[in-house]
Amino acid sequence: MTSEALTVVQRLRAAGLVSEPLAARLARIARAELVSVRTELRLALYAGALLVAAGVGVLVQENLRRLGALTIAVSLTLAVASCFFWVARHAPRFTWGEAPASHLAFDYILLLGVLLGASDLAFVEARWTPLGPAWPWHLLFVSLATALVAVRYDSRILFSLSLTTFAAWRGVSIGLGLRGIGRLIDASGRLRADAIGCALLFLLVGLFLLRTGRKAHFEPVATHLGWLLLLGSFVSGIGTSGAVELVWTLALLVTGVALASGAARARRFALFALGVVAAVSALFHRLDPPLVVAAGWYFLASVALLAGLAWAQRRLREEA
Amino acid sequence: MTRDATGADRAQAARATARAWRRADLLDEAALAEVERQWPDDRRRFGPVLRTLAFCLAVLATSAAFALVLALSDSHSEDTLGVLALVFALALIAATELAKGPFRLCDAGLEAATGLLAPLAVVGGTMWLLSKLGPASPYSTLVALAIAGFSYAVASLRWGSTASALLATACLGGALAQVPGARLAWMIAALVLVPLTLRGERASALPPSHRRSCQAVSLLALVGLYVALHLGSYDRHLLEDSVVYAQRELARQWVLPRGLFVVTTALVPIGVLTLGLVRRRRAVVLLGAILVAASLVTLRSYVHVASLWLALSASGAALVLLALGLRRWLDAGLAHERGGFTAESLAGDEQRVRLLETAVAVAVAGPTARTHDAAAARLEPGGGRFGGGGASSKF
Repeated sequence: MTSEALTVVQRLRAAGLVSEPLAARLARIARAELVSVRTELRLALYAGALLVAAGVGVLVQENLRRLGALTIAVSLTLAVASCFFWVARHAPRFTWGEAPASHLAFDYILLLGVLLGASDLAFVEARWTPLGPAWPWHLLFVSLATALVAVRYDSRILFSLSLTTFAAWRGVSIGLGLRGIGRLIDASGRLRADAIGCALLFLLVGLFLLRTGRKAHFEPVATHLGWLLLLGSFVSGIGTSGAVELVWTLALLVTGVALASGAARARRFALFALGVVAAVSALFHRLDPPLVVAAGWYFLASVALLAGLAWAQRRLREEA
Repeated sequence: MTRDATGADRAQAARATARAWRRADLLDEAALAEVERQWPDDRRRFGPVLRTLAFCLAVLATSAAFALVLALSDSHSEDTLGVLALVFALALIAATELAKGPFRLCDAGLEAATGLLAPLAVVGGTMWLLSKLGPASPYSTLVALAIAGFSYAVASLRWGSTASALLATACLGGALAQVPGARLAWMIAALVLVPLTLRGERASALPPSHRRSCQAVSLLALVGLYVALHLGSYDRHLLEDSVVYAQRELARQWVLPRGLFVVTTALVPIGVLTLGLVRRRRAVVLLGAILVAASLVTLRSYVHVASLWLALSASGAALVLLALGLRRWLDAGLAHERGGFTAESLAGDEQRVRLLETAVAVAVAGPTARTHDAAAARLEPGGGRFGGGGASSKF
């Protein structure tokens, strides 16, 4: 902390707004005599969980023949069970609202359990192929199971994992030609159509969570991923070589502007930025004009957007 | 920095401290309101999201303006580029002064962009001027880096920009890498910079922006010291090969014994970690932990300590156990603290950490969609790629 912090403490104590013991504690923080390492401990736990999950992935890959499939599957199941046993012992009571974590390591042991469980399931599916050609369905199972665990134990990390796993299920299914709308159109078109459907589903999930007030704090995860997927699928189709590409460019521009203005009204800055970036991507898409025209266009559009940002900041007042 | 800007900077630091304490529930709303009243904000600031957008758009607008003037002048000769770079440098300096002065912009992105581009234009223009004075020199990169380092240092001092301070340090490192004895020069520069900046980081006489710059420079200097004393960088001649070509023979005569680097690769991270703990610098502690991890990775790349899966799993498990043990040890102390460290939240930055964790989970732990080819590969004996809820390994 800083000398300014020390001045803050002195003035608050003089104004009688903090008690003597609290002022003494704040002064110690200001003089860096008391330092919190909570964030560092959390990061260490998070990195540790990811490292263990990565190590298990390599173990399965490198030692399949030496250890035997059954040994690996059973060991992974035992590891998952241990993680969930610990989680069950430390879990807070279920609530549809936000549940404060009962233990610093809770989120990370839970994440490790789910990652190991997903690895175990993928391994079993690959080794013994219980689902046969319909193997991508295991991704849907993982997605739904992760969502359930996320809701029960109030984990935003797991909720985001469940959504990305769901999107991966759709991607794999389209890749294998198992599902998807419009087999008559090209593969990228099918993938895009499916991604748009997936994005709309995520946005609806976000809306549902917000409206019902059940796990409403998960809503930003679903909404942000939904918009990212929607705009990303538009970006994959933009271009200037044909009418269809121009339609996608126009769709990106219109959606970006609509998102930015809607997000501005709702004071949601990340979504506002996403909308602006989408609109800018459409505006600045390569048209191959002469250098003077291109430079002039980029300059004028950037200045106009900067003016728009200044106006938006005045209206939105994002905390600096 | 001007007196006006310094005052605004100190007021912002006071408000930021009070807000962090409010988030950590150490202060109530009334106390926060009192701080906001006593240290009012007289600047126009953007939040982090809008600031980033404004920065990118300002860089784009400036680059487009440069290209537009160049295209309108209908000449692509070096003369035009050089003069234009100098004119732009002056214009950008004026724009930054106006933005920070009369327009009272601060943390708005726009003034950061012009402030970072101005030294770049100065370097471009000056190098053009120098090229007009004499024939091409093998030392032109060294001169350009020295000018850039000086320009960014001035920009950092004048406008309180941490990014400029970092760039100045990086340019200094780049310039020193060009001289014979680059490794030794890096060590000496780091050993001079680290104590100075660590002292500056807590100097009340300096405005908060300069203190932040000192912190950033000290961290970069420590990284530079680690690189200079790292066994891998020694074995790969990372610094010796960057020396000006004409001086490479001389540079090879400056080589220190290899055994020294084996020892320093192990000791520097421990030293950094100890420094952070003794002086209670969170950022230095974190850097020390990262350097310890880097040295362990280096050790494994030289000595086959264990198979990869065991190294990853064991280090992950050790990290988890170490964090849990530390937390328990700190919590068991008097008033939940030991030696001035606590595992309790004092700044209310949990929300940011959660955001970071979610972003990392989406980026690295989530599965990726596979194509036909990858799907077909699963049917081969022992091969196939899978991903589910974070698993993405080959089996």
